[in-house]
Amino acid sequence: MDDNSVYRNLFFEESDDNLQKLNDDVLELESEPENIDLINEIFRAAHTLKGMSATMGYNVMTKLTHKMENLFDFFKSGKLKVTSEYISLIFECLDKLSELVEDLRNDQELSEDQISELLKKLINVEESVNGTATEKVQNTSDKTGKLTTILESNEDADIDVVKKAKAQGYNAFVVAIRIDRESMLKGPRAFLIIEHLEQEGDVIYTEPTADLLENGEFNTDFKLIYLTKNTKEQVEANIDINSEIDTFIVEEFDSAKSANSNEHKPLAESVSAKPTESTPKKPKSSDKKEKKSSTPSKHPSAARNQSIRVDLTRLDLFLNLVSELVVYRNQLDDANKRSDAMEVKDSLEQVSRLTSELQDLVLKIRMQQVSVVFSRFPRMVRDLAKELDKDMELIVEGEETELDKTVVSELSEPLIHLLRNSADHGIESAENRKKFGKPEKGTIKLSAYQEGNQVNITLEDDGMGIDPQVMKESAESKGIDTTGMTDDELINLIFHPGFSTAKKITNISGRGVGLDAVMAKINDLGGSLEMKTELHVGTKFVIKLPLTLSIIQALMVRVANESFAIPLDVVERVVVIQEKEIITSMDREVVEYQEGLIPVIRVDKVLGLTNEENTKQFAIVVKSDKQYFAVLVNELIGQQEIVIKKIDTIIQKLNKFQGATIFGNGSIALILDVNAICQGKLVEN
Amino acid sequence: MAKRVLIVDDAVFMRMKLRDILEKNGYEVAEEAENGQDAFDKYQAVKPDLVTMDITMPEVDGIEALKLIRNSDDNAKVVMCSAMGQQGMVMEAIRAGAVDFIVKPFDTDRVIKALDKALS
Repeated sequence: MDDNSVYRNLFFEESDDNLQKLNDDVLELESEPENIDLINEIFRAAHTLKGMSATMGYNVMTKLTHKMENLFDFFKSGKLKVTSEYISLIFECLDKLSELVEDLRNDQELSEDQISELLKKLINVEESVNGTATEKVQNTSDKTGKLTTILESNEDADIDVVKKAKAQGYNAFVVAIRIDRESMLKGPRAFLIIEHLEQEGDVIYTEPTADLLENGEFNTDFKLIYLTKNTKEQVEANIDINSEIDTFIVEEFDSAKSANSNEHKPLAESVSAKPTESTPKKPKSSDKKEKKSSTPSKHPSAARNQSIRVDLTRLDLFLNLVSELVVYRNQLDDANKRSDAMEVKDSLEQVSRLTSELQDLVLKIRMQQVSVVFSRFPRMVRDLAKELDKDMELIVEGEETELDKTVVSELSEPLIHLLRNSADHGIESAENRKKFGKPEKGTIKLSAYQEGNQVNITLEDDGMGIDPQVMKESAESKGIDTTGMTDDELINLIFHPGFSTAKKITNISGRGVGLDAVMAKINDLGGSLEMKTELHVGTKFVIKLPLTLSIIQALMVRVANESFAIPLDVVERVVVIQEKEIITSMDREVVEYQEGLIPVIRVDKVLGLTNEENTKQFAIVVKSDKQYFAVLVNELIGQQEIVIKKIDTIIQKLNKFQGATIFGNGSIALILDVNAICQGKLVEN
Repeated sequence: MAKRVLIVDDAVFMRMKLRDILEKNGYEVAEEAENGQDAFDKYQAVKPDLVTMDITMPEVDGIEALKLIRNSDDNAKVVMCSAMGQQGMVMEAIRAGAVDFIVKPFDTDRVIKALDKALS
């Protein structure tokens, strides 16, 4: 019994790739329906998918891919024209396939019911092309009588040919061959056998006809007349080199016998019947396959292993660095034994250089191109355009930009949200666009690029933008007080929890989850979200994300007797303030900053630390959700690159710490979650 | 001595699967190639006893590769790997000198029988 479980991960990875490729290519096909190269590409990917799922014994998936592939075959042969209707059907299949793959990944058994509806549709298409005759032949293939060399009919002309050949020293044989019943591609199989025979002689007659044979339109048996100078034994040997033959008979041609076509006299058993496998077959292979498909449930943990593909050159480099590291470690050892301080110092320098290089490299290895997420969007926008009956296109730029894998995999949800928003609320109907003198086709542009230590992702549409007046009305109808709000502030209400500007809730967006959820997600990833909008010109979202999550620049501080780290990216500046500068107004402590007042956050109080020193403090001005806060600490320790370590979930639930980090001297410091602390403070007030 | 096989398939998955079948049955996998050009180059380099050749591959497909290999070596033994629905291409491969073909999904017995016969 084959154990396919070890291939599962690989299967999923390659299936995902092939499905994505199919999605991309089919999308392209819709705009270039005549592109035969593309159809070939598509066919190939579908084919690979089918081969892999069949090998894994996932019958349901194989069945669907097979039927879908037939469609591509029709495109290829020109029997069917590529229309948007078929494209949609194919997309349905692809979605279903992704669903099946997902089920398999979760160790769920697949059932035929999952695909029956789609199969029906596909078969309808097939029947419209082929008539109803498809695959009828196979159904009648169960009668297995005895293999005989009696020919149903043959022409006198053939007998003449045989006679002439015999006169020239040829032998004439009747050959009957039964192919394994489970043999697939019978046509080529028969063809191959005949091809082998023809290398040593001539096949002058076949039953059924050569055409039917090549198309595989026969059950298991076929017969032929063969002229050759070889002996019977040589002919038998020639046939025997072929695989997947059940039985065969070679016999001298007897014109008298075959002429009498109705006489179904079974042939004597003695004639070299090769019982490669006995006729009553072993249980059918389908039983075996059912078992196969249930085996993966034994490996639930393997499925959840996350994997990442790494550029081989990066791994090679990794190995090089590690070997270098080993060299210097040995040198250190050696120098240490000899107590050679100078050499210890030299080697240490090398080791520290190598460590930083390794650190950089590991970060790079964790990097993944944003195309992983972006690649599904063109398809999504196409579907959205259909659904909303709007004309629009998505332009994607900078797909090759890399981000940490964790960030990339979390990115898709917020981006989908923003995209749906743009398509639904942003892009206007063709009519309206015309009115404003815009091209009828709307454009959404998604681009990614690296900027220093961060990656910017922008999503820009040329739609109607956000009207502050509409926002105002909408806000007021929801009971939000808008008096004195500037246009900018009105527009930013869109990030207000639960706020949705859609007049009516459509299927596409506005399901009650507002942009605040997107904002929260991006913040979770350590990034920021900004929006620029201009009425009737368009809206642009800018997402800024850190390159990596696990190593950050931090400001180390001391509060009371404890050390903490504050992520540097939220820090705007640090100022020294005296206790007397803090103003208390209506239960809130504020401090003057840039001609305004900003809330003061006493870390010691928030964390419940007793703090004796009260005179001079450092106020770390941080920006959280577009607002400044002054976070008070006792002492600045300095700026440092720290590695974020996960903390216990119980501590995490306090919602005050992002994680922890370990200092060079082995002590541990908690990393303050400044955003959570500041927002928490706001809620309190 | 174990017979040496060159496995050609664009899917890593298929190559692993085939390698597993072969190695468990006393064959040695001399090399793997992921497309037709690669197959041709590696054939020249390792001179295997037999090649298993996937038909559908990007760039240079299995049939082209078969022709290239057969052109350079009359005695090259190439077994094609195909899936259902590739009758036409299998026929073409046979005409171009493929010794046999095996059909996916691979059944261990069938694969080994085909290879044994091809090498006998």
